[in-house]
Amino acid sequence: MSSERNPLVDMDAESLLARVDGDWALLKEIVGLFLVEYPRRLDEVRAALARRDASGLAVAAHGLKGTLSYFGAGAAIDAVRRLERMGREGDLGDAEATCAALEQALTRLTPALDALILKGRA
Amino acid sequence: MKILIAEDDLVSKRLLEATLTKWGYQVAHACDGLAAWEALQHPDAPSLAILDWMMPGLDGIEVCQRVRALPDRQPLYLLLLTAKGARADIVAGLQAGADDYVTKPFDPEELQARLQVGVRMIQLQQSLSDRVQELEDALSQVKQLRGLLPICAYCKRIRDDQSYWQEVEGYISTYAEVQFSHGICPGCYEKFVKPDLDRLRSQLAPEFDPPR
Repeated sequence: MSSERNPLVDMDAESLLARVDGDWALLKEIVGLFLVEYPRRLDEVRAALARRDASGLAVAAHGLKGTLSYFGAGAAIDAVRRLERMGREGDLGDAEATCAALEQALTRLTPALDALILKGRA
Repeated sequence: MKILIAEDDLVSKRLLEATLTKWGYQVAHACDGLAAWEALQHPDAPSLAILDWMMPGLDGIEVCQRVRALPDRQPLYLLLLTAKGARADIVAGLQAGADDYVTKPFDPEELQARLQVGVRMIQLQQSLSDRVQELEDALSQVKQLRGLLPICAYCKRIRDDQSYWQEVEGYISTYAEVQFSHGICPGCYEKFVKPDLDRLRSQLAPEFDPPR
């Protein structure tokens, strides 16, 4: 599915491969790093939300956005960007729902990454 | 050339390291802003640094500000890498002392081009610094004769900084790039030399006067 037709894709595999210049070993490495990194950052988002810490939410969401940006994870990036804006503006009204959307997007992203790695082994 | 990467995001750090290494740079790492600040104060610090904005401890902005406040520092090119992309953020980054700004996810071609600008800047600054050093060294060798010179009205000796009265040739030779070629001016020839020669001639006259 082209990212131009549907901007909220789970992952942009083509861009990701271009980013590692076709180096599958490097791709596997950064996917591994992401799978280690993102749960910690997601926990920081949840924790900030739980204590209604708007500025903490903005910082945590910003950090997760930076990591996700390399994978072209449109749906997850869209949700985390909204969370960052809510944190900056101090308006946490829709934050719970947005966080749920983020988690859903991440649960779709991880198998897509696994599939990409498997494809590279073929 | 060596580059310091200050980035706490593992994915970003690994991608940067792999990309920069492929381009021939040597890579040094700092895991947060404080480590970056310490590394950049070292005399052998890298000339180029890529700093993430949002880091634990000192953020990229604070690192830029501290580094720019250091006196007598070697040339250093600072590039901010961040997911912050609003114009106000870019302005804040550049005003804090960053030389350039790249947004995440970085475009490899763009990053390479911007780093090459940095390498040119560093090389230019280094070459200017070398040239200034050469000129300073040359200037210290240049002898300069200037100012008010205490000179004796009778014998024309000059008093130097150590209160020693020197013959004028000695003084000028010390403070100027000159050499002396001694001669006798017509006035002194008439006044001093000719009478001495006449006297000598009259004393030795029986031997030297031609037969009449």
